[in-house]
Amino acid sequence: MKKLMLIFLTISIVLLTGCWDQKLLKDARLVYGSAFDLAEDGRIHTTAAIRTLQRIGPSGGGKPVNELVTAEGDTVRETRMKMDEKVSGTFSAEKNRIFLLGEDLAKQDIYSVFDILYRTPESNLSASVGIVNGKASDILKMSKKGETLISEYTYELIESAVQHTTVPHENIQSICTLMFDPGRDFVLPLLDKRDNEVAVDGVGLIHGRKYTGHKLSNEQAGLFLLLDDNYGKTARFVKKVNKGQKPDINNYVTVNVMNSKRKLDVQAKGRNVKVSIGLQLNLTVNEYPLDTLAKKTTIKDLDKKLSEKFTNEAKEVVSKLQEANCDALGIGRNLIAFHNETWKQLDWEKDYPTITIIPKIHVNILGSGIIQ
Amino acid sequence: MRKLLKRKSKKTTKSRPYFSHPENHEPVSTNMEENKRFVEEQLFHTSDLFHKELTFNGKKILLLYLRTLVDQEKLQNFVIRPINRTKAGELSETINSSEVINTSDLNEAIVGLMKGHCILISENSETIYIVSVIANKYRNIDQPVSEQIIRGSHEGFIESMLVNLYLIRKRVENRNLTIKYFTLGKATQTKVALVYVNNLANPEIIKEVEKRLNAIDTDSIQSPGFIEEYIEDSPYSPFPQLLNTERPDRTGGHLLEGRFAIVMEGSPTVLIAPITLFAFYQSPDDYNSRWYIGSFFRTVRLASFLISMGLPAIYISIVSFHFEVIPIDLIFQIKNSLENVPFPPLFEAIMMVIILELLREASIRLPPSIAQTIGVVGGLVIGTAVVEASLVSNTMIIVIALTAISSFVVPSNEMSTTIRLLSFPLMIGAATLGFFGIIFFLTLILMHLCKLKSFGTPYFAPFAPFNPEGIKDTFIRLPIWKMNKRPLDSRPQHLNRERFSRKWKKNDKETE
Repeated sequence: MKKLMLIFLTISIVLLTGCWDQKLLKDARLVYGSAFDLAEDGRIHTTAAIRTLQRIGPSGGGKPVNELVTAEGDTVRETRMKMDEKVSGTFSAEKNRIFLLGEDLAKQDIYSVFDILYRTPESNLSASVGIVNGKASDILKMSKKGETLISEYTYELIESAVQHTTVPHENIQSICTLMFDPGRDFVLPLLDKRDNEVAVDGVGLIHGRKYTGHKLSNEQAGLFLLLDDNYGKTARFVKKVNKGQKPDINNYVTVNVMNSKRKLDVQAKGRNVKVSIGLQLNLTVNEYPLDTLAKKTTIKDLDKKLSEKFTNEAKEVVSKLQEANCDALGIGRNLIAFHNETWKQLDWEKDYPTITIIPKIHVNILGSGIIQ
Repeated sequence: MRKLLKRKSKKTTKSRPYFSHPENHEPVSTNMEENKRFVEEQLFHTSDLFHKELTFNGKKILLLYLRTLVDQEKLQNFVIRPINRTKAGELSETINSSEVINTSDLNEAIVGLMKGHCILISENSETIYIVSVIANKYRNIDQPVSEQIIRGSHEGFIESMLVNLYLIRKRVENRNLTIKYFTLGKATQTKVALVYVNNLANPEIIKEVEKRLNAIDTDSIQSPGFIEEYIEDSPYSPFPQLLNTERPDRTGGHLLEGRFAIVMEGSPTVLIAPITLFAFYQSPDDYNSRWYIGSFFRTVRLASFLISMGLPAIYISIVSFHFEVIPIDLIFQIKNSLENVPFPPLFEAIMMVIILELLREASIRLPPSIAQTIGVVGGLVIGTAVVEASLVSNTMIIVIALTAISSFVVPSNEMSTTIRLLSFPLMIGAATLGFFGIIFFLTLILMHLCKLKSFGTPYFAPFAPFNPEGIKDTFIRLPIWKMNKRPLDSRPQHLNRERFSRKWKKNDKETE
């Protein structure tokens, strides 16, 4: 009798408690991309692109379509609740691949928008983040770019930019720690909508939890990532090395970075901090119509010219970083670890823009393609 | 409770069994006709009782036999012809058979008749000769249909115990191979043989199985399944605790690991115990091919164990609780196939599983030519139509099909069914509590496996209790020359089974 009772109780525990937190995939409305903007009077305006497949036959498959939902509220959760009321099924952001922030909202505070993502266990922490010049919702409103849905397109745009060493590989998870790190800042991909096109427009410099409004162009961003030892899969640069050649195209060289070696040297004496960044770039020439690359002198000449150019540009990048007070190279972290006394004396917020950072780039051309 | 048991046991000893073997001695009368009449009456004038009168030493001899059990040719060559030719002498020497018994008990003679012997009753004599002339109607020693392999021996057990024991003896040519006969079932008088290697099998286990076999008190034993249910340790466990096999090579292998086998007259299935869970996943094929291949198939088979038990449950819990674990490129396809299905995933899965079991069951009972039609109707028509009608989603069909295929991978049929049955509680767990429910039920199953014993030896060995040496023959099959020790679970008397067979390599190096 006791045994029977026990079995009965076990079964009822399982059967009676079950299903209450069930969330069926069938009923879920999956959001692929979200855009957050600052509405008037400080409220938050959220746009979500829900991806569905337009059913063609009964056996699955179909044409993907985007459905846009927007809502305005005081918090992100409130906008979600409002959007849930507007869609059939359950609004689920578990598979959200991309979060876009409007310029104004990013300048206010990034963390407060993403707080909701860090608190719920289901959220997709590997989603990409991007800042949009102007309003983020404008991009999602395009709905489609060619045959691709805009949310997917944007995600892939950023992914390919990461591979081309144009933007850093950051996601919701990785920026979380950086936002609270006093010794390191970060940069986020900047997206721009012009006419009917979306393009990566360099990176936006973040300081602390805020977007500074300063940005690096695509070319500068690539150089910055190399200085940060953050090489993607390829990195290409086009540089003007000659003058007066005809046609004009002969003045330029396109190089591909094969590999790079960075050395960050931080020297601290009292309150004096001197940073030198040595970067060795091994390149192959992708394009050089003037040729004569078989000659050692030409190569040496190019090496010298490119080294100079890269170093000058790096100096510009560094000054921009300092101007934005964005310590994306992690010099502060280096100080905390190796020169703690100095770190304690410094007020990094104020002192970072004033320290000396000297980048030096040495270029070494190793390949010239398969023609002689 | 105890009182009740006592009363019950008293009752059974008191009541007379209806099929009791006549133990009373019935003396042979000197009157031949009277003896004949007695035999006829005892057999209720059965029509297949034939008799023939012969003359020997000038005396009449009555030959009685059951026509249905006797080989006519043997009877003619070994009994009738020698008697007719010799005419005089000693009867037992005249008859050309190795098995001549003389008795003065008519009842024993009747038992002999039932076994396919013929009896010779002489005039004015109190001795009856019983001569074995049984007809041997055996089928060929073919490869068992249920346990086919690619390479290696293609012998299989048949319905005759003698032939089966012959196959075992031939495989294990060793004086230590011991065979013990038991007679079980009061009505059927089924012959059962317990086979083991005397210097390997643990005497305690042999004593235990003898005790259990002797305790069997029943009218009939119709199949080894009866014996299995009488002697297994935990009758309520879902896991089979004796290995059923029709393969002599498998039986021989297990005997040499210190296990015992039970062979039954009239059944090609041999029971092997004590056994572990992993033995159900071993196939003679593993040992016939090289160890890489053997290991690969072992891994595939053990993966099939997990797939057939867990895949439907995992799928159900994913689509109803944790869809965030599906990769983004896949989720929309799955979601789309689910969109129009009106049932909850659990119901969908159970429906498909039932359809599958129906198809399987139907195709077993039907002749092969019609079974093919069932395959087409079931697989193609129902499979596609069910999806077209949006009763079941596409993905669910894939999941259930995968589950079914993996369950058929198991070399042992009863284990395959067990696994499919065990997937049901897992599915219910998954549908109520998600991943947590699966883990909950898996934990219960694991606890049960750790506790389960087969003839007092651990069922989940070599994992519980953990024995690193034993793992060499579980998920993988290491080279034979690495497996120097017998498995510990059967507690054999000698552990070492292999010394240093590849010493030639060392010798070669030394001479170089």
